[in-house]
Amino acid sequence: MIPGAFDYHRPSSVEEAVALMGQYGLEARILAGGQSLIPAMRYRLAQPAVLVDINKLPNLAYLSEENGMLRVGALVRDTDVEFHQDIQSRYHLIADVSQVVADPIVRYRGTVVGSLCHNDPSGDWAATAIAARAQMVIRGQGGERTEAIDDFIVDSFTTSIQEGEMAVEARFPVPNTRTSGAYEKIERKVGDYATAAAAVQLELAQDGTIKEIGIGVTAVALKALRVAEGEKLLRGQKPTRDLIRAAAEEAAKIADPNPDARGSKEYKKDMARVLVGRGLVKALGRLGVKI
Amino acid sequence: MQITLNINGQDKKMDVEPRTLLAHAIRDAGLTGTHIGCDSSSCGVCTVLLDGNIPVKSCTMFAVSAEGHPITTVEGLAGSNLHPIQQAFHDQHGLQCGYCTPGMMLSSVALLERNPNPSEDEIRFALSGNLCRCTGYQNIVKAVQQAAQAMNQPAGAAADD
Amino acid sequence: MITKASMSRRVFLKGSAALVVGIGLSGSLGKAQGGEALSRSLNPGDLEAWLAVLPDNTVTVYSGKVELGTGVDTALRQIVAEELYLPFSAITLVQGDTALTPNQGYTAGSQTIQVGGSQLRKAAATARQALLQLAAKKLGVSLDQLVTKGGYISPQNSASPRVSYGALLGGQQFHYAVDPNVKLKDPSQYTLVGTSVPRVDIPAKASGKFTYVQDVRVPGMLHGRVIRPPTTGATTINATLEGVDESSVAQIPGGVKVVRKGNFLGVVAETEWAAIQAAQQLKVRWSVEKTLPQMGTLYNYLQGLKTSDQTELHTGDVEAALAASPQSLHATYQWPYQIHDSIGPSCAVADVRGDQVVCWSPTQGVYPLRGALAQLLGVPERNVRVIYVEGSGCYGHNGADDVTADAALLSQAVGRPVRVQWMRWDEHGWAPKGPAMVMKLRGAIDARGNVAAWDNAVWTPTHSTRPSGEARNLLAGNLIAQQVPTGGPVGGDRNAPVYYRFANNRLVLHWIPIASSPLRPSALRSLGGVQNTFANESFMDELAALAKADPLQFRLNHLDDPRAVAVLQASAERFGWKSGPRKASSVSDIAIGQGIAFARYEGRNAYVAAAAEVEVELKSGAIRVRRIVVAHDCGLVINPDGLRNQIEGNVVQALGRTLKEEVRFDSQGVQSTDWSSYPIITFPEVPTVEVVLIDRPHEPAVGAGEATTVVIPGAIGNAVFDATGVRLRTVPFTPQQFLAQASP
Repeated sequence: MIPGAFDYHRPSSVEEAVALMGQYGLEARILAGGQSLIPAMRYRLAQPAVLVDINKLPNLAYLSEENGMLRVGALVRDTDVEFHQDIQSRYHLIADVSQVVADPIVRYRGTVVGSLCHNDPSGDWAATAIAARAQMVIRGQGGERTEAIDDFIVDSFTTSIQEGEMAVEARFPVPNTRTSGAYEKIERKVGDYATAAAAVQLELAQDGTIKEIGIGVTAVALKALRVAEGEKLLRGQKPTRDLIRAAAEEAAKIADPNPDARGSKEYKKDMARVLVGRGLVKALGRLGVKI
Repeated sequence: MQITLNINGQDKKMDVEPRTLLAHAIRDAGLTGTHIGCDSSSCGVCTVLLDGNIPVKSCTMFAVSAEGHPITTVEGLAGSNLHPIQQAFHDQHGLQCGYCTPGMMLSSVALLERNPNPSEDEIRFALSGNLCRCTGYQNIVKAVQQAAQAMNQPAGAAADD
Repeated sequence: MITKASMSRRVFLKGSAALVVGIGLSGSLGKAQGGEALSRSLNPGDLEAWLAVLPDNTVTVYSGKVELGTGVDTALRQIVAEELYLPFSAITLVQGDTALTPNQGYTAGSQTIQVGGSQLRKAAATARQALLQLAAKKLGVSLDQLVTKGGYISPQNSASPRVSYGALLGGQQFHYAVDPNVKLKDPSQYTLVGTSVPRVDIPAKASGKFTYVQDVRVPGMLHGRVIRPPTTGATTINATLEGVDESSVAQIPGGVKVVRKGNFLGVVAETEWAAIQAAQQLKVRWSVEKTLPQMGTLYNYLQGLKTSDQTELHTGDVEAALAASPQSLHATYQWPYQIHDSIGPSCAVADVRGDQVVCWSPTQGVYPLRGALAQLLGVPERNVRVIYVEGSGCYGHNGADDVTADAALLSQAVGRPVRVQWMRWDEHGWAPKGPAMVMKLRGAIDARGNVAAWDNAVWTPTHSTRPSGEARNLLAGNLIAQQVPTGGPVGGDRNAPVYYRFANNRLVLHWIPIASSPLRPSALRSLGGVQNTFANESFMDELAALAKADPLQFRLNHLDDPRAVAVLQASAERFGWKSGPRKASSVSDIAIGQGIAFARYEGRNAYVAAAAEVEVELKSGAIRVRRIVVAHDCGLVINPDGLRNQIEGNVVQALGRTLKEEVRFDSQGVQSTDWSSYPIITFPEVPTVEVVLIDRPHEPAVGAGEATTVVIPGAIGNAVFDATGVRLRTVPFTPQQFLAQASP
């Protein structure tokens, strides 16, 4: 199948790109890696009249730590993360997810920020960003704003980006040595959408209690969800098998998946529970805590 | 619109719509070694290399976006001799119908560039975006291993054996 | 007879990978096309139909069996070179062309080496005898004084000059009949057969220069696409084309033409890009009846159909034995519709001018397709030439014939050559499906722990609606005539009879009429062999468990053929089979188990056994196959490397069919229309595969293209049972199904 026709623009600066997005409004889409957008256009699930190709924009492929945040520019490809040794060794959650997004070829072209902006309810980065408490940096003609990921994710394929804006960066807090995480995903085959997946990141206090925790699930609702009640159960507590089980149950409670070829509603809800439990155990294990 | 694509070292001028997919542009340029399998970005048989070592599914990229990025297709792998990966697919019987082979080989080349000594698991992982239905997965792994060995030998070593 | 005009269209390679087919009337055919083709007999009884010796001492072989990606191009050359004492490189093979090759039916059913190879072997041996006679005359020595080497014949113990095959024939055809009783070369003298000659097609395939049918180009060629009704893949199409708005594609550049014939609808354009756009944009109204059953009720639906019933075998008295046995069991096994799923979509080029037709097609049978095309196009069969060009793999009756019909109809309508390549959804949606089947088994164990009774009832449609000269068996013909395909009962009984010796044994086949099969059924790798062996080998395991016996020993106890015993033992030995009945599984997150299965393919061909090790993630239900050991005996081995490759391919494909593959449909049609909705196996899921080849040079070479497929599902299911105590009786073994069975 081939995409519908569109007008193609290749701006040379972020300002120019933002101006184009303002000029064409809802008609226009940003083309970064295109690994979600182009298939959607081929299936005519998306039919933008204008594409603004940002691949030639300078200075958007940065991946650096600054002020306690990992800054991921809008042209950072998934493989930039996957092949980055320092990130792989220190960012356990991000390391996990970077190896299971789509398939290995798609990851060479797909971008982290693009995936977050596409906001597919089965995407991997949104649940990761929820668990890691990421922020998005959005540029408009009036300047730049930063938004917490929970506010950024609005609904299926819908973010808080407004007409005339584009996301230029995602920011992930730099983990300390007592922080770990894990991404657990069930897929029918490499490159398939997740049947269900869970992202977990937690920080242990000196006394072994859980100081901070984030739990996100994807593919089990109309958008990626934060398992807030599960986080609440664990925060400030010493992790135990029972607590983990109870927190994982919270994922099943809020999951409201559509049945499809990947599984029934019940199966997917159950997998949300299993995967959150698994992720918590794995993250704790990486910090030397056996459950 | 008029664009110029550099394919296997040759500049090719072509007139395309913005929505023309790179895979179609390459095949229309007479390079039929790049195959089309799925129409849906899922099989990897249309994989080509961008900028020498970046594998992309040419059905999931617009031709116009490839301007300024040298493209390598399967026809561009061999010099005067077969590329070690091609020789290895031959020696190891790494194919049956062969339709997925160009994509497999180009993905393998990208892997070997990044990781000259991949383990079997790393090979399987790196090629997991390429489908084979016949299916020669076993021998493909062996072929990549052979190619790795050949490419790691210092130049001329083979002739001295 | 082939007319001169259609015969003289010349095929040649022109530098690039695309096969550019020139159409001229020069009358002379290239060497690869057989110098004397016009005057040559194609009667399989005539030697000249099979072989020509050229003056340069090379041999052109004409094979009606074709290369589908399995390596038979190489293997058939090995066979001929061997019998003719020629170097491998002296052989050229021309495949599947109704103008050039004898009619060998379909390349299917693992028959190419078994039947086609045997025919060529006899032809080659006859040719050598003929050459020896010519040499004896020419050299003036008796036959028994002659020796053959490398394409030359010379007198033994004499300094007289040798004479080449080419010189002996002097460019003439053989005018001999093939001797069916010709003395064949003793296998102990073989130098080529039995060795792993590298495949002749691989260098071109590895360099991107191979010409697939997708790469064929003809001067003046247009591109076509077809537009099908929404009742995707249904046997009874149940849709009527109400209207077409041609103005909806008028603005597309490229001279789009809309072609309509009944419910067949297509577009033709100067470029492929324009044809794809036009097919996508054309506004069409269909009226549709939604008549397919609920997918969730498919297996009950199949059993409720009016069927044609046949007791295929009944020895002893099954009912009495069941009643008399202390322990009995019954179980129902279910297999879904599955797809061929070649990586490249089907493609063909057709050139129809007036009543002259030439088609380039990836068909498995150029002759049976020729008849169907002639009927579809309304032209005499002799005016149709079908030329085989390899496509992207073939595992049975896929879209190859249908797409050729599409191209031919479009070409007929516009009077120019037309190339049609299916879109992925055409391929997944409309190519014939491997049929869904239900197998209901009952069995009993006697006091000594042996099988006292075995009772099997199978619900199946035919597994062949191949063209066979019938236009309605082509999708386009079905659409135009609104007639479902036709075909006799084929394949549903394959491997339904067990190879074990049971005193009381019954098999009843319930043949489902073609029109009642919700999706269009036809041949997919092994036909019913995989479904039936899955049921038989699972149920054999269930009975072994009932008898508290070791599954391997239980099988051996019921076999009396040493070759059957040998493959089971060989696979078990290499695998490291742990004897004994299943023990209670340990309580942990991951359970590991072993399973074994055996079959003799079609009850008379290859012997194959597979042992599998699986692990099951108990919480998610995910099943991972870690290792498979296959022991394989197909008699004489022609090319060990090619054979291993076939066996491994069988294992991996069957693994995907067992664990993942199922065509989904709703009341209107197929919903599995791409690899997202129909996942197949990928690299990381492929287990270690080990192959033990049992070469029997004095036994006939039988097929190996399918046999291994049939034992894989049973071996996996049995290993899952061994690991977890959960018996999976419905394919595919999805995690969800496992969990449902584990906690009913």
